[in-house]
Amino acid sequence: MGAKEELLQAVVELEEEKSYTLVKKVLDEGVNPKEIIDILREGVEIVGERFNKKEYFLTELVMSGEIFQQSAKILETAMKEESETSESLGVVVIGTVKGDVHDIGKNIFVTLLQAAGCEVHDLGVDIHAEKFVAKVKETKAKIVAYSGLLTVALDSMKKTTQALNSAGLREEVKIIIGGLPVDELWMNEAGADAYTDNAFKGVKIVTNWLKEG
Amino acid sequence: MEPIKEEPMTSVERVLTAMALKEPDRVPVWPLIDFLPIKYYDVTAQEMIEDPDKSQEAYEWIYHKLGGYDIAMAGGGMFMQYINPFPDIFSALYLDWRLPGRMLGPNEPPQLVEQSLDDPFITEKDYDKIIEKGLLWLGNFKRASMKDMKKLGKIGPKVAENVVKWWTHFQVPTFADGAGTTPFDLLSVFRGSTNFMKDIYRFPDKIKEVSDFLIDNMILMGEYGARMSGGKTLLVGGARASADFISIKHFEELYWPYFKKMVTRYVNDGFIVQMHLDTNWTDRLHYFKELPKGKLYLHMDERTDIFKAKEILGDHICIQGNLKPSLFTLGTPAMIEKQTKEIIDKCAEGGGLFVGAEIPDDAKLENVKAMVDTCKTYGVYKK
Repeated sequence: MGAKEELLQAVVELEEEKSYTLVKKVLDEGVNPKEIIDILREGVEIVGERFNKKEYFLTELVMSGEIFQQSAKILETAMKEESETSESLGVVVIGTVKGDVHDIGKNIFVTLLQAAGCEVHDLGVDIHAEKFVAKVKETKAKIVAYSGLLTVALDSMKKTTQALNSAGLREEVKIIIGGLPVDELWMNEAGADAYTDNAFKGVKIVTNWLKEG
Repeated sequence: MEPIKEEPMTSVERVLTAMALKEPDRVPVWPLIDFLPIKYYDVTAQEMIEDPDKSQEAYEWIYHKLGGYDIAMAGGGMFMQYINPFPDIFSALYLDWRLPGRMLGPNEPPQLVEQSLDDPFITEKDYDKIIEKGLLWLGNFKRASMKDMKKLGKIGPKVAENVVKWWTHFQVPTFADGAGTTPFDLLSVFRGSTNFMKDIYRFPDKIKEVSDFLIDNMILMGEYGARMSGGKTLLVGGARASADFISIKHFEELYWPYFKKMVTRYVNDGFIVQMHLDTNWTDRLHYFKELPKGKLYLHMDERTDIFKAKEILGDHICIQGNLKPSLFTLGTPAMIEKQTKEIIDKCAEGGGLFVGAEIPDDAKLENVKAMVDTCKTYGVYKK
């Protein structure tokens, strides 16, 4: 097995230290940093598929995100030297809505979106509708993601959609909502376009939207 | 207020019968109500925590408004929970709990701020420090004060009175007179769940070592809480060791042995143990067969498959659940009635069933009543 295949396998098996060693090794062998990023992405993708098949759990998704992020840091310097920048797939604005401070799922979703190549603006928790609007204007984001766990969050989601509407931005963006309790009832009530209780599936929805343009 | 006496059994009799895996007069029903009264009664979220008389009054009011149900909350109990001097996941003396009237408006229910990735409450180095020094050094007065500690001494006896009132006057068992937390859950909230999930991969042996060190005293802390309020019930909750979080391998190594030890000890010491499982536990339900038979009840939310639970645990543990909380806010009485009936149809036979759900603070009263009423009519056992 070549070093590239070994790297892919190390990421999929979540062997953290081995992954970092191999990232350095293939870089030293002269492999293009962009190609290495693609290997890492493929690894995270396979981890996600195993997660969907219930062979892997949230812990494994978190670890794959961590391995991706730390590896990307190793590659950063090399990418700067070659004046290469990784092209972003698109811009996503995300936050836990007003009145709710739960963010376990949101943070994992953010890491996976970044691993998938999105430019993510994470507003944090307890975020007022107007802050979402301002950030969408500023970044020209095409995707807005609301996170929430409590039923109070639903009311805030509704208000955030209304605020995007009033600002004339609703037609410009797609809205996805996420959190353990969200379902079709929540989505309709919140005026969103999609919902997910599964970070990996959520990333698929967002990347598909961005690819469709 | 007067007790409601319209049915053949009292709630205490009904609950104990269902727990012993026999058929009571009807299926017991338990809406887990904590802050719901703030929407319908003249009481604030802050008073629900800090005023044991006012909150007891509010709980009695809503109990009557709904026509009675089978497990109730003692007024003031939430003060003991949030101002717990011992390290627990609900204690504002340890964790970043936003409480009403403090970091929140007087009418906003509490929320736990998850520990940040970069600046968690404990670092990975603190695992060794815990083994060396224990846990009490982690207590602080950022969210609660010395004044609260003094108040604890005054509120404690009031809560004890309220507990006794539910059991003897209303003849309804109380919810969570004390609570046991596993080392796994405590460490996860102290580290923040994302950091803790990385620790699970990086230092599983260290987590085991700390858990072994903590478990016996953490068991005692829960018992102490219940004994201080004169209570008989102990809650053992779980959320972060479910299939929504960790693998069976990690569950077996880092969670189950400690959970089992805690629950078994509480049963052996004569407590009524209420296991409260949030998120999805379906693929690990069979482990619960290792717990004492007929002495417990197991609450699950909609993410765990209650029909599977009946199949796997029906002859061993009384099951509770599992309507989806947000349905009580967004749904209709007809939707609630339909789901309640489905649970009764598939799980009531032979006893060992409670219908229940956690009720959100903004739930519609008619939806809660629909669940209660359906159990009282459709849930009657035919002799």
